[in-house]
Amino acid sequence: MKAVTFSGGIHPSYNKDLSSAVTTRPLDPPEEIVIPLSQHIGAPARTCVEKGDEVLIGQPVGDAGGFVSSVIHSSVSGKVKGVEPRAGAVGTEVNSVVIENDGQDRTVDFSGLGDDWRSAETSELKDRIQQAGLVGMGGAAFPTHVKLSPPDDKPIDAVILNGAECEPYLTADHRLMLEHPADVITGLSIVMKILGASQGFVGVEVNKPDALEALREASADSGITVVPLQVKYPQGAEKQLIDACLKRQVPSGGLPMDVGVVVQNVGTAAAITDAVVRGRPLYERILTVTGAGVAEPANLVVRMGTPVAHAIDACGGVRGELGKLVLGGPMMGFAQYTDQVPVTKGTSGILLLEKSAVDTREPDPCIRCGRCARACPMRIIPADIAAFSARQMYERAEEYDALDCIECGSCAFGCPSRIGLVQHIRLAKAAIMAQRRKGN
Amino acid sequence: MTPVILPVIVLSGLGLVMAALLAVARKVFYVEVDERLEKLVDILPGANCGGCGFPGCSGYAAALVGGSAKPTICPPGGADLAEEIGSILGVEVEEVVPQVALVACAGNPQSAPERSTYIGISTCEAAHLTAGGFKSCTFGCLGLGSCAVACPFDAIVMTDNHLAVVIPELCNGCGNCVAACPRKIIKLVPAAEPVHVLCINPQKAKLVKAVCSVGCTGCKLCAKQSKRFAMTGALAQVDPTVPGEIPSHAPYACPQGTIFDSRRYKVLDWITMPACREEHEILTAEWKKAEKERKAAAKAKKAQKAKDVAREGVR
Repeated sequence: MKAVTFSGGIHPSYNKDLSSAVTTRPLDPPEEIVIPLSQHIGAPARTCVEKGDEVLIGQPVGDAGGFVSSVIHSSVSGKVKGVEPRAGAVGTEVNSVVIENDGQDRTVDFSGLGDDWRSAETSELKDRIQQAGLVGMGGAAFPTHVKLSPPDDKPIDAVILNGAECEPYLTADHRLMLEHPADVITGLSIVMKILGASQGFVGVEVNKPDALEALREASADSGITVVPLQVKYPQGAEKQLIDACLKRQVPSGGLPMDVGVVVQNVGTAAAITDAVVRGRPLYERILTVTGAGVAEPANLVVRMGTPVAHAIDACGGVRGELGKLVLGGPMMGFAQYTDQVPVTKGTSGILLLEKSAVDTREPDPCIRCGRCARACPMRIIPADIAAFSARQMYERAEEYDALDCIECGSCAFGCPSRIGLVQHIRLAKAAIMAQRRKGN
Repeated sequence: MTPVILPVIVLSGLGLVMAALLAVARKVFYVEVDERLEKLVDILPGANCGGCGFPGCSGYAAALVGGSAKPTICPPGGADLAEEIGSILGVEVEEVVPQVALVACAGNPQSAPERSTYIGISTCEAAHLTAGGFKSCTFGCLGLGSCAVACPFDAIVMTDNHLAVVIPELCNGCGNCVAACPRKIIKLVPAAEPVHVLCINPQKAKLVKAVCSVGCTGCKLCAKQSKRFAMTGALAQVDPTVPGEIPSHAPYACPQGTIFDSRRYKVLDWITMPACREEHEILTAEWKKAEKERKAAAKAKKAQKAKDVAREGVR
């Protein structure tokens, strides 16, 4: 099968060989775990434990704060030290449950459906996914059960798993697909059953031939298609993935379900298998610790709430002079001001960049070269929107479809004047959304 | 005849014809203008600051004549202008309390250090949107000057220690800076109010102390000095609705030095000159000592009185 792709995009240096050959290993949890009650898009969870409570692995510490919210589980056994605001991954303080780890790793009883999931009711499968606190594990952390509950007038006929892992440096999904291909395929089958979808795809970039092979073997006779994708950023963005796999275009302002598709990350699919088949909630995840700033890049299975400093120490610590600490990949990740932020459900990687990799030069004026427009996978004109945004002309920015921007950073990556195009567009998006809220 | 005569005659004639046409047009197409409108446009400040909420001074004048606007809402004009407007429109005018803007943050890089290096668009909105800003206190002034840009009267100074300061003498209270500040640090206060709490961080003492050495911890010691200090959660604020004057020693009661008193210092000096704070600390120590002595004296007097009473009883 010929590798497929979308139009636009960029070719950054991938730097995946730092960690792609390193087998995943579990990381022992630290003595204190800090579990934020908001690890997902939507309402924060409501705490359901108090100071002094004994908790077990897999025991809920936060109940969903609404439909678009998520249950949060303890990732260690031990005693709750308190519920207090702690540093979160997006810069502001987040209400978090602090747990003292007793090191005994006692768990609640996990009872899964085993192979019986094939005959189970759809509602039960969905309920198990919701109770396991599943959210999208690619980075955005959107609650999975919401994605699996499309309105009746939007029938879903295809489910695509995103195994592109187009972010440079990250190899967590790669290792997952290589080491647990059967879990990924089972997770996809469960999602297809819940949605009544007839087609299933797993899209994987061709720079991971071993993962492609493993998935092909695991999916033999299951009716699932493993789609080789061209190596290009942002191949894993859901609209671009749908374009590549099915040649369907999500309309402006629309969602994948408008074209009958649901996209999930491969990590989420494996977690769905864990939740449904084995009854294990989401309390740990695979992530990549990598970059020139860390001594021994690795792929780790990390408990939620582990401070990133603990994971970095387990990889030999910082090497050289650290320039930037990023949670997620270099294109869409969040730079951090402290290494005490905890790993959450959406943390796909910890990236340490050396000092020389950080460009502190001021931007130059736009030379109207058009590289940003050529790179933009959403076919909007970043330079124009940024110019409107810089002059507070937010209505014009909206006319130029600023809200279609997926903030992938392809435009800013290639800008010869180093203009912070994404930041300008984000400002415009925030202003437009604020204006809309005011209007309502 | 020189050839110049003919063009002169033609052009003069043309001019006369056009003048006649314009004179006719003036009569025929005359637009009735409310003379009050012209008068109002004349007396309004003409700064077009938008503080009234209408598009410029002429917009406000039209709204006044149309009856959809109050005569008291022009911040630069104040009470005098409101009265003039009232006399033109022939309406009663209620009292205007002149207001000025106040930047309620004094956390400079020494007292509220930066937690990260910010490389990006140099506006407060952009920095605030980027992971809550680069300052340790996520409520504090970012000092990138979005308010100063928004101020139509050049009343906001960006100091060398990365803080915004409103010069009360120049401020007309239009409120443009209030809207421009993404952190909602700037508020409008009565111009006659001399004392202010320069902090908006509503968090508890432990969290405030972790990020700033001049932030309000909610200790309530100021509230003991004057009823004018009202607590909203763990944040003290001067309540403009409570009447009375705040005693001049009230700022000394604040262990963080968050309370600013314009009767003693100019706000720009307070923010920019370390000497002001040094002097404030000396005065605070003196006041505390005097307070201690006063309390001890009062206690001794009380004890003496009790002793006297006991002796009376024995007799």
